[in-house]
Amino acid sequence: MAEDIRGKVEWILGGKQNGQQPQQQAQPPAASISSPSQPIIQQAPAPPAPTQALILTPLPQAQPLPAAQMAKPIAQNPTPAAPRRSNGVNINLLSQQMLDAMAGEEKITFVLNEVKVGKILVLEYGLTPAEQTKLIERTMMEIDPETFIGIEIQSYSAEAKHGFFQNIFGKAARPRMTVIGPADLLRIVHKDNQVIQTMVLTGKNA
Amino acid sequence: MAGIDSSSESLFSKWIKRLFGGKQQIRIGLYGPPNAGKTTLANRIVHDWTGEVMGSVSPVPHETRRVKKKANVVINNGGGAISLDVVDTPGIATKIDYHEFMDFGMNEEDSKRRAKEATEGVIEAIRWLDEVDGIILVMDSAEDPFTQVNITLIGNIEARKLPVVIAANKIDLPNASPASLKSAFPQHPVIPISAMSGHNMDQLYKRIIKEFR
Repeated sequence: MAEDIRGKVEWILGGKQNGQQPQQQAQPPAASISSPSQPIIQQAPAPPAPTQALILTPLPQAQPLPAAQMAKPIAQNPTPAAPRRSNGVNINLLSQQMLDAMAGEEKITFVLNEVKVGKILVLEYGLTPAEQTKLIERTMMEIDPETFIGIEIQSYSAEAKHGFFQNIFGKAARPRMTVIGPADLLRIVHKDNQVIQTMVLTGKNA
Repeated sequence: MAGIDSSSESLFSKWIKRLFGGKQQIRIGLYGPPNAGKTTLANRIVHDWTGEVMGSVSPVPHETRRVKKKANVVINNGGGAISLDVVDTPGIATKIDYHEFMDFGMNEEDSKRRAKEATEGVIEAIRWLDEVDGIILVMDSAEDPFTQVNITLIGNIEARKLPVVIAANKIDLPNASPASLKSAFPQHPVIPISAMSGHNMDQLYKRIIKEFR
């Protein structure tokens, strides 16, 4: 596939994960890791043209909203559709509240429908392991050789929970920031405990 | 949601079985991404203990597109013994592009058919997660350990509380780094092996007996 690689995006996670140190071979991020109080998205300093870089830091733990303020069910009310062959790429950042408002199957359907129309999703907190396998399973059912070859998905390892009640009741570890996109549009360049580095391939689908 | 919660039902039934007598036969699934060497390892295990082979291997990804089983493989490594049903599964992937197969010289029609069968194989492999008692997670020690397939499989194994041994395969390759796998998944036993040459298989058998018996 001869695609123009125009956009390069780094999804950088602040803080240390599960007490693990970064891998020796890991490349340092484009800028120092921001604190949660900094803007969610900031332009990285002087990225080499034509590469564009975005730095994302995770939001602090969001408080649940009252039911009346919760987002409406998304599957029936998707984010505004953008034409696949437009001049840009849709990158949607989805909050924890938005995803929590959806049941498991509804969440999978929503993610898959959005990705199939060419959107790249960044989930503030990702999918559980069971949801990830369900998404892969549903993706395999939807693959069409000519129009949809699957998804690219990357997340950090789940945060371990070692609290008393988690140990007693076996509560699943909390998933973490996740990026999902169409496999013909999003490519993972590098990943370690601190950075997910991606490229957006715009030549074929723009 | 029912489908997503099925793992907890399976986990409960397995717990009950273990509580009341346990299972005589342990069903072990070989899981991992495509081309990690799952079928090569399955062939090695089955050949070492029964003299048979399980399936064909190929450099073309998704050579294994259906789950294959071999029952009653008795591993007796001196210090202990265990009887396994070995389940070789298709590689788990998030995308399947038929053009990838054409790069290996396949024609378009065959490539599309292989891609279709590969998607069905991934679904079958995922559904078999509910049917196994333990997992040998096969990873290519010459590749990046932080792939999403590895992360997703580890997450599912931990959520199901299944015993697991990570086989850090292909240590015969010059750029192999089993140490990277060990540091990526320090919470699980990682055994460096070469399924192709048989190097260090005795250590893997010892660990299989320890973890799955």
